[in-house]
Amino acid sequence: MTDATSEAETRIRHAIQRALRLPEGDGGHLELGATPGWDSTGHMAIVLEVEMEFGVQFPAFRLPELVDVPAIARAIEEERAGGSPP
Amino acid sequence: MMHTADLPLRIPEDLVDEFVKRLPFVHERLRAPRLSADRTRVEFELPPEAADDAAAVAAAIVDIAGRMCSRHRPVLTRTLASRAELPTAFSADPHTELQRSGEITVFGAGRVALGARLTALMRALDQAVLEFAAEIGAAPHLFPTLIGAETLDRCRYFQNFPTGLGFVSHLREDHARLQEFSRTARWDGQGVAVDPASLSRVECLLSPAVCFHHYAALSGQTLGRLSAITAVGKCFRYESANMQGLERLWDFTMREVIFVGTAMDAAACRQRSIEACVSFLEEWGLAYEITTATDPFFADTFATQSAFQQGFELKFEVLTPLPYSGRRIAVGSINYHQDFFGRSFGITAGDAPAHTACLAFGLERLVLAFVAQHGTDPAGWPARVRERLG
Repeated sequence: MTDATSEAETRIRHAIQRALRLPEGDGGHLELGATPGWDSTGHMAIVLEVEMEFGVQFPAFRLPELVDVPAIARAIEEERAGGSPP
Repeated sequence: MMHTADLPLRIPEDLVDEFVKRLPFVHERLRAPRLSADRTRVEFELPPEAADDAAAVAAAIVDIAGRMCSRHRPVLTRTLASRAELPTAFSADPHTELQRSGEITVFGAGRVALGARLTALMRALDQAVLEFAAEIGAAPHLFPTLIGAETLDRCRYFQNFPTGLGFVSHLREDHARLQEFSRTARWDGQGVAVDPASLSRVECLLSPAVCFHHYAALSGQTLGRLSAITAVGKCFRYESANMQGLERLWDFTMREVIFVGTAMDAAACRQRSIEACVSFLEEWGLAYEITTATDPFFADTFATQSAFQQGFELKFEVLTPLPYSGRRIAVGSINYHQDFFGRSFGITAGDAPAHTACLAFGLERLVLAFVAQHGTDPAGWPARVRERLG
């Protein structure tokens, strides 16, 4: 893991914690369906918080991919590189 | 008097219909709202006595545009099945003939009665859906027309669909107020004047959908196996100036087939529902398209909720063309709610919050689609349909 990836993942982690009102910190493994509050309702709160944090906007077809911190980091990188076809 | 609202952004083309549908809810006296061809301005009319409200109305329109469009994600609609060719050359608006022959009676906006022939047609269409329900072992249920406010609150309906709500109240148990009402209450041409202090709190509403009742009935339960049921009921969604003929009713009839179980159960039932829809539409000889879609969320929650629905492909609509207008109406939908209702009502299946899905048809719209495509004369209807009608 590069320093840049590590920093991005930390920012994502904090964005998720803010969106779900979880205590800040390492927080262990964060995942859709497993983390308290990260359900179908909490998912969009996380998406919006991550989008604001990184200044990106995910297309709708990408939303189901954003299931944990590494997946979100990958999606941000791909969006910044010009997105991917649906 | 004509007024304008200049929008700070251009309404995306794929949002035009959704945006325009929300405009009648901005102000009670607003008339004839029109989006300009370049999609950057709304013209609207207000009567002279409401002209002072024009700036507030324009600001509200700008607010709606901002909320719906600022985080808009372009729609990529996916078509699951379709039959484009219309069954007949019939292209007249059937409303005129149906009214003339007494087959529809319009009591008011969104309130329409069906005559004997259309009622028989509606029952036959409903029967075809019931056959699918029987095939998959979905037992018929009957639910009240009233739904508890607590149930709709758990469904987050107040946040997501406030414009359509129909509140139910009654006069409070208070002899003096009852006497006063009995002495003075009359229809005044627009409504019945009632002192709000005489009315009860809103404990119930008119049900906007059938399936919520079933989730409420299963509240707190752990399911050992799939729960599949079917029910038909009157549903109510106030649509303001958008109400029109049989296309958009305030008071309508909905048939649903409802599934509650594990994620795998819900996915399998949704797939079977799509296949059943295709087979049903083919049998009835209707042109149709089944595509991904979104619910008509309130402007404030539209951007996030519709993106979520689109992204996860949670809603499919059954669209049927209306030859007389060139437009299409949704006669039904196939919905997957993931574990939203399972969590909201504490229903468990397979050691996790239950997943739910439903197939729903608006029966008056199905009737309209059928007569719009096949004509109002039963002699021109497909032989299999005439056989069903007896």
